[in-house]
Amino acid sequence: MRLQPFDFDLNPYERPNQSWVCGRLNEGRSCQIGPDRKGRCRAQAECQPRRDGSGWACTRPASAGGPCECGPRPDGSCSRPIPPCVPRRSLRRKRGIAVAWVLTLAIGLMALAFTSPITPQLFSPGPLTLQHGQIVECGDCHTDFDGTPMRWLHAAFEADEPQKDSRLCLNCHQFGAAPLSPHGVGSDQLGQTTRATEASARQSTPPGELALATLLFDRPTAAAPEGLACATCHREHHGADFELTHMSDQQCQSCHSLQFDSFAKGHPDFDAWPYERRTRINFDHVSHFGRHFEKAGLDKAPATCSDCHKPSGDGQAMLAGSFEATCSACHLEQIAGAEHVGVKGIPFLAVPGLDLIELGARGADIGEWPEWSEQQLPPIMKTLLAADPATAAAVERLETLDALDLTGLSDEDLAAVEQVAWGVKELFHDLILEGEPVLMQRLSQSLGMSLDRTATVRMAGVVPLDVMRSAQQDWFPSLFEEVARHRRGETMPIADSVEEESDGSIAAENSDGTQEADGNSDKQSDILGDNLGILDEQADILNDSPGILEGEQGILGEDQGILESDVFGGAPLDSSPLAPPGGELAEQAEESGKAADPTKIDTEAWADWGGWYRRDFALYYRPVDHADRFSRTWLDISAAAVSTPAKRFATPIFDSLAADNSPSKCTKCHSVDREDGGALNMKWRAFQPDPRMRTATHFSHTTHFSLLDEKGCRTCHNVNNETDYQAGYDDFDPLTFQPGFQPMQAAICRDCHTREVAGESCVLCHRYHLGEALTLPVSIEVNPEDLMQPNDGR
Amino acid sequence: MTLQVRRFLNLAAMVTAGALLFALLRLNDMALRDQSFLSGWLLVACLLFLTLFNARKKLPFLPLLRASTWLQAHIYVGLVSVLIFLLHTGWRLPDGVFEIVLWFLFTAVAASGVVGILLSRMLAGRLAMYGEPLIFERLPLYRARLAREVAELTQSSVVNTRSATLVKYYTTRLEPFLRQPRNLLRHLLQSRKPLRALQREMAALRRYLNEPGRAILDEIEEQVVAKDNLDYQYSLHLLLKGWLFVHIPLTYGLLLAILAHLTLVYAFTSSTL
Repeated sequence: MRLQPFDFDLNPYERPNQSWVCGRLNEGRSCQIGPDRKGRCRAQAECQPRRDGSGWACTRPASAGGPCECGPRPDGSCSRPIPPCVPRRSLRRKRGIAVAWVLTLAIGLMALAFTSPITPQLFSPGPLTLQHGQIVECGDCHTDFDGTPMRWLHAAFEADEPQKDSRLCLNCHQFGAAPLSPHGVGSDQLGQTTRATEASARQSTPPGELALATLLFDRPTAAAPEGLACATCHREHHGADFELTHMSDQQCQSCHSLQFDSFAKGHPDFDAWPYERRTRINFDHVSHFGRHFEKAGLDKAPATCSDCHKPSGDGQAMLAGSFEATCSACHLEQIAGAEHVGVKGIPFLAVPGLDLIELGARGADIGEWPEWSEQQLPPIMKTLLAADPATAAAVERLETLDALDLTGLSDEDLAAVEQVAWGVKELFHDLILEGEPVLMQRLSQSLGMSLDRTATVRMAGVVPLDVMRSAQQDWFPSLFEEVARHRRGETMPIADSVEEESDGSIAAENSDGTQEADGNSDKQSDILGDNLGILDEQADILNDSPGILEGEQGILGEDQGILESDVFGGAPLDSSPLAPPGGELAEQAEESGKAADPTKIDTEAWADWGGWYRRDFALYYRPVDHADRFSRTWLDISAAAVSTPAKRFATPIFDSLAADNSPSKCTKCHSVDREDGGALNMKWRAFQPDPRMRTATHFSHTTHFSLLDEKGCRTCHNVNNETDYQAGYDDFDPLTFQPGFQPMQAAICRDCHTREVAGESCVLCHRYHLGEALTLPVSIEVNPEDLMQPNDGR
Repeated sequence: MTLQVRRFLNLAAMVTAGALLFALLRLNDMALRDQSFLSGWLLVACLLFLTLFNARKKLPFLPLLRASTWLQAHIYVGLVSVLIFLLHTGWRLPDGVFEIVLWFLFTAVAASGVVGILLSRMLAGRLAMYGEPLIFERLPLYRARLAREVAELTQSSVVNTRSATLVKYYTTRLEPFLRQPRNLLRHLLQSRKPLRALQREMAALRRYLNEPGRAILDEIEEQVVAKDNLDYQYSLHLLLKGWLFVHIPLTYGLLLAILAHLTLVYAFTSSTL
């Protein structure tokens, strides 16, 4: 039995798309017209008769049984009315209602969720990593969180600064001045590095998928020229154990112009690494291994590399040992002046030699002046004099003259000589009377920098007052009276001085530097002189009676050390005997049976252990030991000032101290780098890793120790005999040099570091964040009362 | 083109598209992008395309390819979107409450869609097992017609057999059976047990009827079998249309949740790429 005919006129018209169906469908008597869109029954009769001539014809369709037997009524209405039904919703309509319910439910639930007190927990995409687990406020990391859901909606569509959230990261993580730029370095450095690799990049063939990725998507640096957000690499809300710093090798290379497959295939050679700059300490392994160690003997030469190099605390770097541990055995005596040719002290103050005959003839107003001085102004003294611009100009003019032959001196030159002479005297005068403040003021003014007390004390070399006084009494016995008269405007022709000299009131020195031992010289004798000098007449500095400064304690008084009386507050004098080391004179005296003549003491030799000595109308400082503070401070200060307007004073000081024949010989081993601004920077220490500084490449030495065979360190580090290591220190550029070791071979690393063994990922050896990792300053206000509270033990 | 060839080509196209999308997302990740953005937008695009199928059905007058073509596209794009969804979520259940809800919504929609495909494939053949395949909307008409014809036959039996046996049986057993769809669950389970029970009852009734009565009973039994076939058709049609009561409403709920998800993502994203 077949139920469903497919003749077009035997089936009712279906309306599956409509929302309502006839209420009599289940009775098998659904009407033809069906309900309206609002579900109201529209049926009134089985058909709508049509006019047929003068009558009416039934129009009931065949599917409903065809024209009825009784036909339309005379008025044209259908004779078979249909009682109204109650239409039913169609299946589609019911489904629509289900959709409406679901949507209503979803909107309601979301509205509840968005206004709930636990909204952050509901909409948080997941827990934070352990490192960030302490963060509980979403607003700590999301700038737009602190607002209503409407604000979130606005934030989703507004175009604002894309790095704003990253700046919140920087509240805790600080990466220098350009934290969001690639690698945290400036664009200049980045461009420089990129240009350096461009040649290699052009020759290399990037891996296919990386090339395709670059083709389809801009390089991250190009897509975000204003800087990379932290979330570019560090994606949060993936759970406590999520590895926040994981980076694939391809991701690392996505920004780079040089792209390659792996460490084994395509990774560039190490080039200069790790010898990227000359060593801070000028130590030529070739010459030491080849010559010096052999000459020094086995007892002084290191037996292994580890005798001089120890791993740093983190095992990364191999640090050079201290001077005392590694160098002093051979080099300490050199610092003290052994093998040094020439003056072994650094000239600090001097009496410039002048043509007194000519000056006397011209009636120069300089007062008394040592006749036999042939000294020139030391660079340090010139700097001290330069605090007075007129004196500075006069010094410059004097340098154009031959001070020892001033024949035909012009009036202007004469005035310059007089200015310099009084400048020298006033310097002595002020230094003796006022001490350190004068030095600090004059140096600060001349060098154009603010010097603190510590630096000034070191630059003064804690020179004792007696050294200054004895020098003054030898060179300018009437200094205080003369300066007083000069400042009152009185003139003091040199003739007066010459006359005084003829009376034998001024100590004369022999050409060999030793002092005359007559009675006059005793009065102004060196502090290092015997007990017939000033020590007798005024106060022995070793005596506990009132000292040279009347009313004050002796500088080596029993209870009052030199710290109290020393004009510069220096350290107490060593208790070493006031006799020359070796005591040759004492031995001679003992042999001859006569009293020793202390005036024959070689002051420079006497100061063999360092310190102050006077010779040839100049006051010298002889470096005490390695890392001598006087030499270091003057080198540091003058090096820093060579790029400043004070370079005309600083450069001569630096040049004299950094010269090959400099007494201190600091620059024999300590290199000098020129900084970006032109200033020089002394490298006092060998490389010391700064735990705050992150370099692009890191390597753990200690991790690899167990892998070394009998070659030891030479597995990687091999001395290069063919380079001119010393030439790298001819200038101030640390990057123009030839390393003393052969280049490192990446092949050595590749022996072990493969994908399967030991690993070869980029981040195994390279860091992204470079530069200084700053620590957050503690900004907690300390209440003294809280500090006094007892600790509760927790 | 045979069905097998078409299906093979469609599957090949789907696998190719899936592989290309997988590669694209991998390249996107390689380029230091957060690939969840690309995969997310691809997913949104796929979902919008999938919802267009529903719109297309509501606009049958537009010459926008055949509905069967749309269905094919709907199925295969839906399967690809499942792959994108898995890539988007990292092949794991998310950690956030809202995202878990979103995950389950998508999973429910996708699962209901897969169930729909399976039902369409399985039930289409079963529709022809019993009786003739019928249009769902016409089933009430045929059911009413059969009920009316059985009622008429029963009435005629009184005149022809002068017995109320059939009337009683009709009143107690047949009329409730014919009034509305019966035994839907058993029909879904392919069970003919209720029909056979009726047939056994009618066979037992034969001994109480005379020859005209038996002839009428034979006709009634034929109508009962037709009614049972109608119920069978109805149950299968109901299932074929019923899964959409899950699939479509959840799809709308999913779209709403995606809108909220997008808003939250863009409000709080910290990425610059």
